[in-house]
Amino acid sequence: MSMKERKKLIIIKTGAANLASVEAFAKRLGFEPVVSDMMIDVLEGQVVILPGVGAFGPAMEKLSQDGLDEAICRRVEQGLPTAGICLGMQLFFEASEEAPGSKGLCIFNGTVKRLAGGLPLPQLGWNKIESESSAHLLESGWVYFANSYRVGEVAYTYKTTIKGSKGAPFAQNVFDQVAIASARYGEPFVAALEAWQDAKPTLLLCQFHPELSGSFGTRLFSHWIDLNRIGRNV
Amino acid sequence: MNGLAVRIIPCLDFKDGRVVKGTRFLNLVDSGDPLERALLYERQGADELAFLDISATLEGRKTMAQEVARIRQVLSIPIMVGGGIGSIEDACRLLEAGADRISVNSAAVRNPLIIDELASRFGVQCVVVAIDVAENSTMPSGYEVKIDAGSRKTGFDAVAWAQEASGRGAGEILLTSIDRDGTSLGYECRLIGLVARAVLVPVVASGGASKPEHFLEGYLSGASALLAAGIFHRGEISIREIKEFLKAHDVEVRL
Repeated sequence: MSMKERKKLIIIKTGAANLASVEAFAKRLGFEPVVSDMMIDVLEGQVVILPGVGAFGPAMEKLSQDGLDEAICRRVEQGLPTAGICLGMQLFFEASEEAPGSKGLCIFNGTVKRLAGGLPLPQLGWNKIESESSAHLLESGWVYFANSYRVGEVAYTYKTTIKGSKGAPFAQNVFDQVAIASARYGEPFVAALEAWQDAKPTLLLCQFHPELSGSFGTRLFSHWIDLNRIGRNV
Repeated sequence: MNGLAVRIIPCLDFKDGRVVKGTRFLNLVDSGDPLERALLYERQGADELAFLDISATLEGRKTMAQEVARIRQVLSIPIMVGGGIGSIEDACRLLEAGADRISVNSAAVRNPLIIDELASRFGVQCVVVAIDVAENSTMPSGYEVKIDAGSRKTGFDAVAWAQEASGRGAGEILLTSIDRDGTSLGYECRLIGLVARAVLVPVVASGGASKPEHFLEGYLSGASALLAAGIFHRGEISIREIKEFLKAHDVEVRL
């Protein structure tokens, strides 16, 4: 490892759950992970990950208490590299069956629902994802899931309108392109999403756990960081 | 099946900082440094790593959390940790060190409420109930649960206990046949079938696998994941070879 100071990667703290796997992942990617619930970190962090622990309701409550819901929306609007993992992906939508009445970040339309199809929940283990042909970042392959809820579809047109969690749209014409990878567990669902601004995939959402998906996850995030043109020590 | 790949899980039995392996839970033999083993298995295609602490002392237990933390830094597949977890605090310590899933065994038999509590604190995906089983014809299923590393009978029927454990919030059952452990005779398939049919959660088969055919038998009996230790430690066969064998028999694996 070089003597140069490693660049920081902010992992948003949404609850008490442990983040050891995501922190170790950040280090393997060449960053110094910082777990934070400070607005300044979320606004200014070069890379921010919203991790996947806990439940929809309490996580949104904690984000809103700390003003981080607005901070995340602002990052996305400004095209700063932001990723959501598992629950962290679901929070980018409007609501979830897991927490009726609780409002999500509303960056994408749609309600997160419980996986239907009668298979045992949570979905736990390695499932195959298939990326759309229009995806430039996401690849097809085996990834590790641990989830009971899922995004069923992403209703988007290019130049998606960002509404922001407090209601009125505050950013328009944000994404040039959105592409997904899908998987099937009893029913089809959205396994991941890449959203592009100014020729960079600034937003990456994964329903699976890239930090536990072996070389596939590491390769995906390395590629994502490189396409966002962030220098790092590896 | 549900579309998920059947998981191959190498298990590192861990005693005071070293990987060991015994026969029928006894006669332990040293098999090397856990970190090197873990990395080797990930490269071979392991889908998850099981880490079982069989240290007898408190000192050994502390070493375990340090080892988990050390391995977490380099390993990018899920880590399941078990052995001697007697309290929520024990579970917390190991999760903070970097375990993704916790398996409880004797403590759950002594106090089943620990399963409920772990599930509500950390989610069912985090909770594995490990059941060590020996044949006993006086039990309804023909199998009895044993605890304390197989040294103590419980009078519990294996199938009934698996049902109770999953009802309380076990996200998975890790089912070990003491009779087969380290014997190379293959999984106790009748037992796997009985338990897999009785619970909705995935069952991990453990104890006795020594050939690719054994892994296929375990899968066909209803196991969602197949655990083994000695066969991998001794380098007799690689995880990749087992997966290729399974794939050749139309079993979905991650290759």
